[in-house]
Amino acid sequence: MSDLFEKLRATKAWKSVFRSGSFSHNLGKSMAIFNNFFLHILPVKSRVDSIRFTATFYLGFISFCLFLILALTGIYLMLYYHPSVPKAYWDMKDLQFVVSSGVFLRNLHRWSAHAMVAVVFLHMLRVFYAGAYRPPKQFNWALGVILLIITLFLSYTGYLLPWDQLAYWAVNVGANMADAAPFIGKKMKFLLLGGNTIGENTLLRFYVLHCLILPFVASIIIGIHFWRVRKDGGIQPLFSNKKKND
Amino acid sequence: MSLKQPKDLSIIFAFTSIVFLIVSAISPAKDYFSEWRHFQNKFNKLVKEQPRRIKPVDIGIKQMWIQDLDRVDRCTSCHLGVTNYQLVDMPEPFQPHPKMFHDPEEFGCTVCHHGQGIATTVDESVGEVEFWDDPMLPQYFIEASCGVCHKDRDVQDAPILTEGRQLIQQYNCVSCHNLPGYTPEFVPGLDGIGKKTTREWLVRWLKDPREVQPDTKMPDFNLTEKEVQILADFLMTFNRYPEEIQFEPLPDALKEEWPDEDLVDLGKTRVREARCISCHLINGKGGHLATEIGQIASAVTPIWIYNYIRNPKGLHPGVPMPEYGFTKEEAIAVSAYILTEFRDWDLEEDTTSISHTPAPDFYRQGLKLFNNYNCLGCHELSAEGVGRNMGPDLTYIGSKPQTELEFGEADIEETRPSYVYHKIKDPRQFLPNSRMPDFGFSDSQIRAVTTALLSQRKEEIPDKYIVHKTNNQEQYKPQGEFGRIVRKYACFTCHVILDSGYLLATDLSLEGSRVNHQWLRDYFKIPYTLRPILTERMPNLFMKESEMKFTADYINVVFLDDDIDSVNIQLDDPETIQQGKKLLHEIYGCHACHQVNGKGGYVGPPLNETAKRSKPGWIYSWIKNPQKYRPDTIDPNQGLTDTEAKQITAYIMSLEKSE
Repeated sequence: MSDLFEKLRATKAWKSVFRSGSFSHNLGKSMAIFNNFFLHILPVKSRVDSIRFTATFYLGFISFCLFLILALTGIYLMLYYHPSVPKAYWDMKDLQFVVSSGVFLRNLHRWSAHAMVAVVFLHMLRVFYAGAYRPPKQFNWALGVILLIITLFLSYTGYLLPWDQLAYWAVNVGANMADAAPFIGKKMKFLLLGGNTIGENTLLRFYVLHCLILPFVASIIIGIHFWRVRKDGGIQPLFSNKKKND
Repeated sequence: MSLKQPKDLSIIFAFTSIVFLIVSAISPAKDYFSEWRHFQNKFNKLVKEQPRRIKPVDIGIKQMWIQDLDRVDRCTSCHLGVTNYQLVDMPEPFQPHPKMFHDPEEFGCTVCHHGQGIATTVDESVGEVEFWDDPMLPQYFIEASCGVCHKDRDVQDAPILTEGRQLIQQYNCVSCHNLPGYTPEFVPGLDGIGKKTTREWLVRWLKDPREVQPDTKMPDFNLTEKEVQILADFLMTFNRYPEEIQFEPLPDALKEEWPDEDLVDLGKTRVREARCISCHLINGKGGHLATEIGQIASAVTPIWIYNYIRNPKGLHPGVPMPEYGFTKEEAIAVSAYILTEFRDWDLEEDTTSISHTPAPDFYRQGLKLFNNYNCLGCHELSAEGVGRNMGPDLTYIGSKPQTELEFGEADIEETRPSYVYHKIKDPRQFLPNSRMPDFGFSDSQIRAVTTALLSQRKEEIPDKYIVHKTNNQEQYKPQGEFGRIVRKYACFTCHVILDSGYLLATDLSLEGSRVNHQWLRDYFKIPYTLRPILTERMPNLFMKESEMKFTADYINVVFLDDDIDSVNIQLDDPETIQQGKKLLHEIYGCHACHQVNGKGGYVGPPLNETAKRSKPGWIYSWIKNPQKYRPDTIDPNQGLTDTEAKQITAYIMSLEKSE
């Protein structure tokens, strides 16, 4: 079996796709990681301690997976959704009643969104208790905080899109919270709603934020976040540091 | 928790993959085993067993998109036989719809039936769905949906709705509730009530109006004994009429307990000629247009009766009663007759009020009660401090969200129709401070009113769907002398002219083309009924000679139709008359319903009379197409040719001379 894979890895096609060859020596194995777009996020060599489940509980990875699920289901939902006042709510109803697997995908999107907020928050806690905000990872911690805010904002903008009473009043509360900010509150609310009250403009604004601007910004920052994990190191359990110091 | 690498991870990976696969399979499976698919398969199976060949349906969601009404109805996904009347033996949901008045492709289902038409499951569409404000309308109230577009008072094929709307109008619901399309009814004002009636009667009346007069429209306010006494004291203080009304003192002839018999006899004759019974109920007989007066002498004072006969519109502005042209002596005679005959003979003398002393602040308390129960909504009263105190606006009661209805402690089904029904049935059950009175409606009347109220919906419906005859044009209001006469004699109470008035008798819009000038003048003097089988209703109004002449002249030159008047008929050609006679008796058999020279049926008017009364152009136009002039007439349209119609007309006109 392993011989078969060795032969396969020796073919030109394999090499042209994966840019690496034989696994028979450590260099080859290292190159496989190093030359792969997806795998090079991991160091060529990791300590067992740092990839142990309890080290991170894979919370960052789970967040990223949820982000992917949300992007995929979100694109699917976009096919059936009009961000306009007369249509938005009825598109929800159509998803529920006539679109094949519409309910399933909408629920998947919704529960993944809830889960993502929770998991991102737990991820932050884990990082905090591991002390992984300390130098040289301060900047990545800051990026993480920005990503948390983007996650919350994605959740908030998505809440309006069903255009039902729950959505309307939730966004009303949110907008009034912005309004309460000193000095710039009024302007912020106006900017957020695209007017003085929730309406067609707000729906369109939230839709563009939810489907385009926020995911785009999030994707870029997630990329940098990963890159900095790779460069600065991720969570290194405290006890291993202690051991070193001893 | 600690996992060994990497074998344990593979197990987790394998496990989650399987879970994911199962979850992914559930959704398409649910879609495949959906309710509508089950119904469609069942339908196709049943269709095969039918004796006649009926096309099975293609499996898939069916929907009707009604763009103008902004709705998508998917009801026909399961209700597959709605328009197929061959399927009467099929079980539900495949039954055809009972008689349908509108094309479902153009109107959809939910515009009438409500429910969630976009849903594709039984529970979500016809069941009670949380947050869906318009669940299925119970079948009994379905005519409420007719009323959303059909705004007229009378809606053909919707008798319950029509009854409800008439009740809302008659019982003057608009006096307390804002309801577009309804107008305030005449209700006697209360100025001078202290002079009109006695305190004893007022107490009896306020306690329970229907006890005193069973057919009254005044509702029962469930007043406590104390409230009744205070209100009676309060109202009795209004014993003066405004100065501009000439309130005559009681003539000597009416001061005695039993007036002179000759006078009473004259009164009796005049009452009969005036046909008071056409509108007033007297001891169980008569019309329902006005108040029952069989016991009126026990309710109101003699001086008031006399003055009212003299000047009804002065004492009660706006009252639909005609102002009869009685002389003073006749008015005294009529009053004497009423005072002698129209009494409540069973009434026991109530002497409690004689010794009654009002509470110290009865006026203040009475005013408060008067305003609290919005008495001013119906009854005019000129007093300092009175004001209107309306109930809730009912313009959109039919679409008010169910969550906004206050059910209080009442143990009833919490739906909109149930709320409206129970509110009318027992108006004070929801809230302790409710003021709404009890109208004493029967169950079917409550349902009718509920139906009419549920038709008050806020819906965006394009104008082309709205059916509204009466409001589209300006109401005809006669002006000048003719207008004065029409108002004085209350013609519009029974007659219609150019869509104004109430159609109890004849539509007079074309009267000038219909009748002879001289006949009309004579008719005002001695009115009679034109059809032998009808009861006589047109009263002798005792009009002045000058008024009769003016009215007849006016009608003769104004209410015309040129098409009718321009018909040219050779009336005195014997050959034509002979032909007409043959047609009338032998071909069309008109005498089956009409009397001709004393022989024939009793359904239509006697034709000898017609000859005296009608103009030839009218007879010609009428027999050509009776329904054109009265859509509900039973006179058949025989499809006469012009010549035939002219011949028959000539014959009918000749009957006048032959008698």
